[in-house]
Amino acid sequence: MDRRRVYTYPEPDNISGDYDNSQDGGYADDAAYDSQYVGGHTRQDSDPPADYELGNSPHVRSNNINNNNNNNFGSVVRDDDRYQHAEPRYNSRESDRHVHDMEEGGVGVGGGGRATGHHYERHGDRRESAAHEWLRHRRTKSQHLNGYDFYRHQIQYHVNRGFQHDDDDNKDGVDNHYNSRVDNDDDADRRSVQSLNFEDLKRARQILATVRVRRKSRKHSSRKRRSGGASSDDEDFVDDVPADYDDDDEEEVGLPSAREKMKSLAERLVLAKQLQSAKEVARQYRDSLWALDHEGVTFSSGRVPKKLQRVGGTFSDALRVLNFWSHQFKEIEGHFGIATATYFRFTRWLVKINFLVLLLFLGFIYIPQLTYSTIFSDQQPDQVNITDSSRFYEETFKCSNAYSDHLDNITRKESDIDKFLNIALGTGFIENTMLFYGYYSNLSFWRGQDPGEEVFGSHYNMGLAYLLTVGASFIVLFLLIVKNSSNTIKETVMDFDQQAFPKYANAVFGGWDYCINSENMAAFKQNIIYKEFMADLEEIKLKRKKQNRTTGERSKLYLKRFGINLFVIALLGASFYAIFAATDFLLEKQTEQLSFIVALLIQYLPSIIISVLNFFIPEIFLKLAEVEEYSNNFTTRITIVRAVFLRLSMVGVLIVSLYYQLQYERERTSYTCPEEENFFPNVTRCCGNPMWKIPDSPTEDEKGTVKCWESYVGQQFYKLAVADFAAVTLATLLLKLPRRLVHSKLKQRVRLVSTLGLAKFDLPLEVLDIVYSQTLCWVGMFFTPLLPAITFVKVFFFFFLKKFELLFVCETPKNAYRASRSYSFFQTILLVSFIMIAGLLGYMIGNIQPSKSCGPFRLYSSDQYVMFDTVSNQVNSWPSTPRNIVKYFGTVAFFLPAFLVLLLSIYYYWATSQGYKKMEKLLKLQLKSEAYDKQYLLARVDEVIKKGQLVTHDNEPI
Amino acid sequence: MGNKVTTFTEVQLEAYQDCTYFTRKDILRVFQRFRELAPDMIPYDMTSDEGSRLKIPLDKLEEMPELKENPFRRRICQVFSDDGTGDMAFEDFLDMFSVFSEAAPRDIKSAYAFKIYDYDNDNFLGKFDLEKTLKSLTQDSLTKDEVTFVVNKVLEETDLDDDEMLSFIEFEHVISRAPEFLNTFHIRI
Repeated sequence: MDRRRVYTYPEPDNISGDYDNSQDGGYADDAAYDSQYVGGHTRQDSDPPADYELGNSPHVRSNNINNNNNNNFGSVVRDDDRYQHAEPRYNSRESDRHVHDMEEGGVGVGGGGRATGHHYERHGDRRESAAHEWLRHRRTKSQHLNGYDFYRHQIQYHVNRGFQHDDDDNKDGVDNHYNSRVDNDDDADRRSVQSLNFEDLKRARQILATVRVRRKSRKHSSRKRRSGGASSDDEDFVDDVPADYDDDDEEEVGLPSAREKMKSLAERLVLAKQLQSAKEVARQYRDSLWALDHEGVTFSSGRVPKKLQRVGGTFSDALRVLNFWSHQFKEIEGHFGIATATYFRFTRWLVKINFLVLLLFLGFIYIPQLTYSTIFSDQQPDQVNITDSSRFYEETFKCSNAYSDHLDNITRKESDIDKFLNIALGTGFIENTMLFYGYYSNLSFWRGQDPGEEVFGSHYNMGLAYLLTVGASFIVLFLLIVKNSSNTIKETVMDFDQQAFPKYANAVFGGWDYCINSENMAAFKQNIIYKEFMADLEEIKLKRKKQNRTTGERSKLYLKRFGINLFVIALLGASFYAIFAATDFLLEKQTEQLSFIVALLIQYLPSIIISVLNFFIPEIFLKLAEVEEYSNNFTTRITIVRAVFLRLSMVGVLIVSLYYQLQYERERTSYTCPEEENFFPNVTRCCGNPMWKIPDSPTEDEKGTVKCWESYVGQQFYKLAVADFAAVTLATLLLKLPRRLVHSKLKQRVRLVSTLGLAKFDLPLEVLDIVYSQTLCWVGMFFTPLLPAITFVKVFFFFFLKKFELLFVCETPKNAYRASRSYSFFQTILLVSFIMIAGLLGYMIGNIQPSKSCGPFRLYSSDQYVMFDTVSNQVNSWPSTPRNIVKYFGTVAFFLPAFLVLLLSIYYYWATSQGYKKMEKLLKLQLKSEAYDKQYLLARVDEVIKKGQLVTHDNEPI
Repeated sequence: MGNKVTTFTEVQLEAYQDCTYFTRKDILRVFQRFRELAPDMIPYDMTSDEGSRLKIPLDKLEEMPELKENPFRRRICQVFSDDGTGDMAFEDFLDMFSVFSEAAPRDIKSAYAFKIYDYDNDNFLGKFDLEKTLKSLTQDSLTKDEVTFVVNKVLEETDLDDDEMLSFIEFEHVISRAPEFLNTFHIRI
């Protein structure tokens, strides 16, 4: 197979005007990407016999293709070499070759991801003249050919004429329109041509498509070249491109980029090497110029970007640290596929964001507080550090003392068992640690040398820091969540756009999970895919059944669904009531002296109830949904939605009941604390704690009082977090693991065991678990500042616990959850719960009065003091200009325009998206009409064949 | 670490880095994996043209854990091997994992996926290709009617020009709407 045939182009002048001429000469080029027409036949003379059989059976064919590759083209690299040798002899051929090289080369390297534009340019320069020549030639001719005539002539031309043109053979070999496997294309097309000549019309269609695609790809790359480094002469031709060229653009959009990138690594390496040497030459040249003349030489240096790239590379290497646990992922993906791995991806992401929040808290809350309490603990036992001697200071002082006395009282009486209990409950001595809000002082001091002297920066306003840190954490979290979910939101939108969603194509082309490397999972996955298809088929039947439902059946079904929904609501209501009652009961019983176990149980009652409900109710939902006869997908979805609702509203109910008990009561009792009147004559509102009780006698236990409601709330969330931690861990170790052991021992003998089977790893519910624990962290963060740390540890631990569970304890997930869908769904849940929590905390910070007895906000500045006043006070203390600026943001004058701008931008984006939708529709239509063009052409070909205008190389009509 | 220096030259490593989506470390790791497949055939020293010359035969590649269970393993090897036989030199191997890496963009992935699913190498996904793909996917457990049904459904969804096969454009179009693809067309090394 000699590729170095002499091939000369006609002079451009010859073909410029006259149609026939252009047919004779010009086609040879532009249409020569179809040299398969030619090649297929000419090769019959020159090629080994094996090739000749190409058209007959597909098997032989493909074998041949491979043989060809082996024997002749091994790699393009080698071809290159050959051309190098051939250069002197085949000049015009060589220049053509260069053009192609460039076409492929410049961008091919670009495909490597890092190689950049300057490569391309340099490359282009070297070969510019050749390219130019070639281009001129091509363009001139293509002006004459429009639309269908173009095709018809082209085909006719080829069929009639091609056989004489031995020279064209393999010209196309270099043209590599599709990818690096040049020769496959060629052969494929070649045999198509054969079939066209002899029988198969079907093939003709294919050829036409190829013709078109090739034409476009050439045109595209030539355009690229043009814009890349074309000389001014080329510009002339830009305008000459026929108008009909432009309407095909959408078909090209994706194709060439991919094609250009699809060069094998070997080729790209060769190119890279060439480029490097070219660059070297260029640099030397440049340097010599530089020596000659320091001014007037401007050059786009290829060096700097390279260096930058390296820096960028190191940076991204460093960022890879964030992708820790990758071998863990490999194992999980290998065993269970991507969908399950998304759960772990999600967990890892939570580990990251918790760590971030932890860092913030560490820097701005923990460390300052720690410094303060270690340095000043002896001097400032009351943790009030105020220079102001107003009425509020006095109140705070009294309340704080009362609270710390109360804590001291309790702590003093503690036995060892109590201590243990207190660790679990967050009461007693634990309450007076950094774990809870109440411990934090309102002002931290770093004093100057003299006790009285205050130097700049000697204040650390703990209240402000506390508020701002929590605020900043929420903002950072919000950005992170939004960023993370925006990646997936597009997919979700696409997913919900059911009409356009190619369900089957997705299942076929995206069905296989390339990560899987375990034998079991592979078989399992194949089974799942099979089942999915079957389920789809079932669903079609189901749909038919649905349509055939009689009115009676339908109303019965709706009645059933209605009943079940009612039941679900009742169930939810009952659960909520149970939680509410439990918190109430807890407050009541707190006063009583109880034994250790009972006290523990009662304290943990709400948490236990929540855990138990979480464990059982989703199962009930699942069973219920099966009865409802929804479609498969919908069944899963509605179960999850119900479970989410249950889980998140439980937290909501808890918050509401806490609010009711701690705050609403106060409103009802109209701020009087009769018992205190004597004790604190000046103090109203019971130090901000309506549950404040004064013991009748000093000996009486004070357990029932809440002297710092923030800490009390913190304790509840602390308990919930601990209970959640314990529940998940124990469920794995004490329920699922023994079940596994029993199952593996007894499954052959006891039937019940085998029917019960193993615990299942139900992905959405597992995710819900972890979202729940994250939600707890966010709600409780304000009241239990150490909660981010606890959650960080917890999530970290869960990652490995769940991996262990998945690998050794549970059954493989039964349902084939779509990776993308589930991931975005989790994100959405997280976002929703986050926003709700942020709203709640915002309300609290802006509306509820903090305790005077504890915490960083204990010193009021007015009777209506709320936590947010810390910020406003700070702003008020600023000089007038910055103060006014900040205040301006709070006024209507700012808010109204801002609101309008927001509205406008939303409208703008909405309109753009509508525009895109419309555009998409149009493009689709265009694609379709293109296709019809093709079919029209086909009809013409048919016509031509029927008229007997096609001749074989013997000049006999078919 | 001494190993690092001698396996590839600095120039080679840079070129590999430029042409793939891998960092230096990744490339060396890929090489480790490659060498593990046939330690007796592949030397540690790859500084001359061993990267493109020494080939590991198809049957050994197919045994590799990342590919072993993949129903398309043969196709993958064939598509990525330079000569189409399925035997791979290190550079082919590196290229393969570069395409399957997370960093590779969608269009590259889809271009190779198209090649993989194009069993008869005719640059179109015809019914034959689709049927073969489906059979590989489901271990041949669908009946003939079901296969035909699904194939027709796929064509119905994707074949815009009614020619009963998918061109690359159509394939890419549908892949861009298939959210699963990017997630699943991915092999961790």
